[in-house]
Amino acid sequence: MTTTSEAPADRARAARRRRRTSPRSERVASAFLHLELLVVAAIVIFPLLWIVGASFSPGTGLANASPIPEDATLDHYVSLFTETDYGRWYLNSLYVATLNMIGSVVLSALCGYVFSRIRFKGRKAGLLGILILQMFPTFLTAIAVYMLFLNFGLLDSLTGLALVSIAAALPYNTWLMKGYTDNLPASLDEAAAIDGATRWTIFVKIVLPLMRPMLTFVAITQFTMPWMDFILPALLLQSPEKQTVALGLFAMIEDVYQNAFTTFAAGAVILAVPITVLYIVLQRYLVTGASAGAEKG
Amino acid sequence: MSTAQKTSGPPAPVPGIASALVWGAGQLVNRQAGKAAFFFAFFAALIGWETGTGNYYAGMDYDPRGNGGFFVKGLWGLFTLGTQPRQMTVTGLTDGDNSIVLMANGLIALLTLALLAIVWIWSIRDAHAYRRALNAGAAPETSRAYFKRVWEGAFAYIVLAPGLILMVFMSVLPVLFGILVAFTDYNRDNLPPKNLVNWVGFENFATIFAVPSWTATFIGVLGWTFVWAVVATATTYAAGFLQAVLLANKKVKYPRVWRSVFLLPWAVPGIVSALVFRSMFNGQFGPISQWLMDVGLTDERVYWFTDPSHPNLARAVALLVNLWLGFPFFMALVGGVLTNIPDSYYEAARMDGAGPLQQLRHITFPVVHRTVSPLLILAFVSNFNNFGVIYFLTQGGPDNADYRFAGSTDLLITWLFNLTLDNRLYNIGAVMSMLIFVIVGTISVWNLNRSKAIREL
Amino acid sequence: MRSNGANAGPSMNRRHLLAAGGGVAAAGALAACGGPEEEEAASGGLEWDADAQQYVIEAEIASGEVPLKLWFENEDLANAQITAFKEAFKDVYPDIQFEYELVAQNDAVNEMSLAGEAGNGGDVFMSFYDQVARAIEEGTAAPLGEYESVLKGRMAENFVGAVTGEDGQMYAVPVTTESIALMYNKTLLQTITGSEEPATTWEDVQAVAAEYNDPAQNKWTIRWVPGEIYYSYSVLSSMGWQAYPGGDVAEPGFDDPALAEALDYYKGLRAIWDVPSADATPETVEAEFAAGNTPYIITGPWAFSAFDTGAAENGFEYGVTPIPSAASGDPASSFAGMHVIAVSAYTKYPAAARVFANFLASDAGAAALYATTGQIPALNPDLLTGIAGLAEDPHVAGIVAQGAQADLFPQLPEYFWSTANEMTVAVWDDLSSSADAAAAAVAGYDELAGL
Repeated sequence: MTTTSEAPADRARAARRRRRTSPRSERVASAFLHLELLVVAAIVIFPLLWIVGASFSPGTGLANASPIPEDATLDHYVSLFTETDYGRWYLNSLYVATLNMIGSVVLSALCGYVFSRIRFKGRKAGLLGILILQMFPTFLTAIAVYMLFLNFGLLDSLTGLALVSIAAALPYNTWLMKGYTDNLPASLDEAAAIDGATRWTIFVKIVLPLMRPMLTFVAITQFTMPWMDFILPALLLQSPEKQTVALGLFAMIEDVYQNAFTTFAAGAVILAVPITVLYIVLQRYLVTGASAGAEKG
Repeated sequence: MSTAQKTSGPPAPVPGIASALVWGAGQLVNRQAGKAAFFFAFFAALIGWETGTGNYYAGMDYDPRGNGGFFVKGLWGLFTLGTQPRQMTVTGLTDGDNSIVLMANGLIALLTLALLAIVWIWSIRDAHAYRRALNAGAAPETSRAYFKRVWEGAFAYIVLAPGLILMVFMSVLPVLFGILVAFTDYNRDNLPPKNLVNWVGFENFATIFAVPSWTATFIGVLGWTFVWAVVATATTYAAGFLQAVLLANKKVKYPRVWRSVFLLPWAVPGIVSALVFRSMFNGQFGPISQWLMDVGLTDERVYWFTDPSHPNLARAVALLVNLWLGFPFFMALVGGVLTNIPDSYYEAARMDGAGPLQQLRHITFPVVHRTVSPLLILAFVSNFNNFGVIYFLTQGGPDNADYRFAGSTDLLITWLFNLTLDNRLYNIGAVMSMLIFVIVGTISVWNLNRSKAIREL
Repeated sequence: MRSNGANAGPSMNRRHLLAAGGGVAAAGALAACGGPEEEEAASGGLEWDADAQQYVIEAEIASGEVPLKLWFENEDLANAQITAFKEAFKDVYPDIQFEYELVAQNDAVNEMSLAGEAGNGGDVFMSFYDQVARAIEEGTAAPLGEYESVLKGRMAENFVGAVTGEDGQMYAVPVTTESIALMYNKTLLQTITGSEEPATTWEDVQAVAAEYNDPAQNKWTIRWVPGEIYYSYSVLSSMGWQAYPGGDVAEPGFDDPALAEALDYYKGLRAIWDVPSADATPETVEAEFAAGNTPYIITGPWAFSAFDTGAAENGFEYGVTPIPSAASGDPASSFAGMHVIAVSAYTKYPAAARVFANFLASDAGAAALYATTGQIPALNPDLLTGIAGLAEDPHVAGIVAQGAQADLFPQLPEYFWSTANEMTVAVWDDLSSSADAAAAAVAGYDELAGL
């Protein structure tokens, strides 16, 4: 970071002085720092630029794609909405994403609160169990979910798909919520309990408002997750009017009758832009959320 | 809601037995109509469901296959996997049994019964305990008061119930199903609907160890999977840590802008990114190969993911791509932890004469590491089973002549996917899924048990 | 998705037919032919209109109350066939309605086993002929009943054989026939060699390559997908190797000494198309030809529409001709393939489903097929003359010429493709010697066959 040659005794004073003056070594360090950031930023941006470029490139195939196309065209965006059902897919995905977001936030907040604040029989086993359960490879077992949905009339239903997504992410989200709640001061709810408040009141009135940063984090991540989920929707959704964006886009690049990489790129860009904006606007919550989930004590 | 103080009722086991036979009957004996109705509702639902879906009528010749409802037929199907194969006729399939449907339905029935059994046992114990308390001279309690007490006392279980039910059906059920398939002959030679599947015990476990070339592939792929999981986790963590520490430096101008940029790989859907990288590293058309040649760094195109003579090149590039995809998460994570480290720690360190590097080593790193370590184990697990990156990026390539149906970058999970779905060896795939599960589960439990977060549960 | 299997044009001598019972004539319909009156023979609960030679469609479907559900991969084709069907049956069934779902042909059989059980599968589904065996075994495709006699009179015996089960019944309607062939860019060849005559041997190709190839510029004389047996078989067979020489599923012929030699020759072709197998994917290979950058390509008729567009945009003409022969001089064979349509065993409307499936092999259905996709209907040659443009289509003629050398293997096990592909890749990417690769294929095939 900075130079380490200063005498120990001067450190405190030097640190204070640094805010006002900027010796040369400081400026060199700062330059290196920004150079590193610049390089990483370039590495991060180039591939993204490439797919944006591909979406504006004339032609259809992968080979036509370039980061900065020479004669850029909006054709692919136009054909996305005129020749495919992209709008419908988008709305379907939006529905699943919203439902997934709401369901995940509600359930994981409840579970996280309970696991964090209440000591009950089976608590440790439950917390460990839900984690371990996640480690079984699932692609083979999807048939069971299919039969389940068949029995309960949830096949080819976007609501059903959202239910699976909620369940799939619940263990991890529960852990996040629990970790965050652990760090909230217990004195508040203890005081309320002494005043005779019920558990439910404590949860709704006191803990829930404090959990807001974590709720936001779970909401963002769960809202974005279903957009590119592929394997389960492919199994559970069938009729053309129930397709999601991911299914539609992948059908596009898999279809041998049309070589549509550039249109795929356009679809991917339209998909990624709102999510990216969301991430950037709400990045404060992402940072607190990501770290709070890991916090312990 | 009897107000009689005199405890002249029957002995405690009587209501218990009554509730065991007809749920809620014991509560009725105890004169608690509200509770009785509550338990009876579950009982009625169970019976109603069974008779409604079954074929019950007076004087019937009962057989679970023909007459059983959802539960009886479900359990029968789970046990037998069907007895009557279907025939093909010109109008389609005749009626008969589909073993896989029977197995799945049987599991659903079994799990539903298991959940209902909780209510059943509750009703028996309640009837028994309440009567014993009454007989011992305790004051009667209204149903309303009882439920209020339960709501507070069993608050945890009640609130967890929706999530639990969801997970039992969406997570436990599929896992059980996957385990059961390992004990059947469900594979390409024996597929429903026309064929019945049978229980075969441990035969499949013997089969996978009897094919030597698979054992060699399994060990080779397992080794790479470990390397991948460890290196992928370590690199994303290290890079995320570095970026977070740099961004936290007070000298950085516009940290928010930089951080926004670095968050991009996290925000962009992962599969899209993987496909973009696959195209960029395409040996023939990819811009990177072309650029290296244009600049004169290489004489020939570099076949990143497909050159069998350089499997480690493909592996390294796959790890780099994974680094690109994965570092923002750890950057955000570490960034958040950093803001929570009190300034007083650093002040104290400065007073003691610690330089920035020493502060990093003795304060920042230990604090961050202690917080993050449980998540590192989870990251290891998810990298171990990282289907998306490998499947969409390299498709397992480059080819490896020593492996069966696997390339040099194939992870266990992608190999398994190809092996089972391409060849329709579902039962063998189930056996291997269990193996993977045991391996990953053991590692994570062992590690989690050592971590502070779990020990303090 | 393309099938691993492939196909052939009409009027081709197919050399070997594996297993698959030959035609057991269906009885019912013939008897009915004699009567002057309208006689309706009921067979298996379905009503057969002997006069019109078709099943009587169920009332719910005929009235349009319930639409018949079709599983197609190609949306354009589905629409074209629906339109053609309504036109052809506008007097008898004016109200009939259809709906379609887009399901990849490679996945249809697999998906049907779940969706059918759930009651939301298609009433008919398009697939590839090499998946028919699986559909029969699992029981997802239903036999065609009386239509067998209709279809047998309209198409070659081996087409019928390829969709016939061991019980002698037909389980799918052959719709198209295809084979890979050599396609060449006439315009580009003219500039390189001064002649637009295509190569007939690999030596001819190599001669052009010596001049034209420039790896640094990514310029190659010929492109194909080198890691798949579906393509490499043309070279291997031209070197004298024959898959399934005895027609026995247990004997794929990987132990034939001619194979190692043929593989050596195949490996030698890497000199003129020096790209790892995994990098030469169908998409990139076809895109380069469509862009006019490659004089030769080995691919199938599915690429015609992309090539037509590319030719128009980039100003070139292309031709289609048999695949060049190798040093030993045998004609280059290929895997014949067929797209088929099958009736779901789960359908509630077996008559309507059969009428529609059969329609795809009728004159009107075949015309709609050719007009939409340019594919060759799997009908007898004399029936194809009525289709506008087909006889004059030089591209179709090229496929048909290659088809004359193609092998139609009914019902190959999928592990043939996986082991033979592994072998091809091992040789092409120089992972092992030809002899070792062949030996590994023998072992791998037996391993998978024995499970």
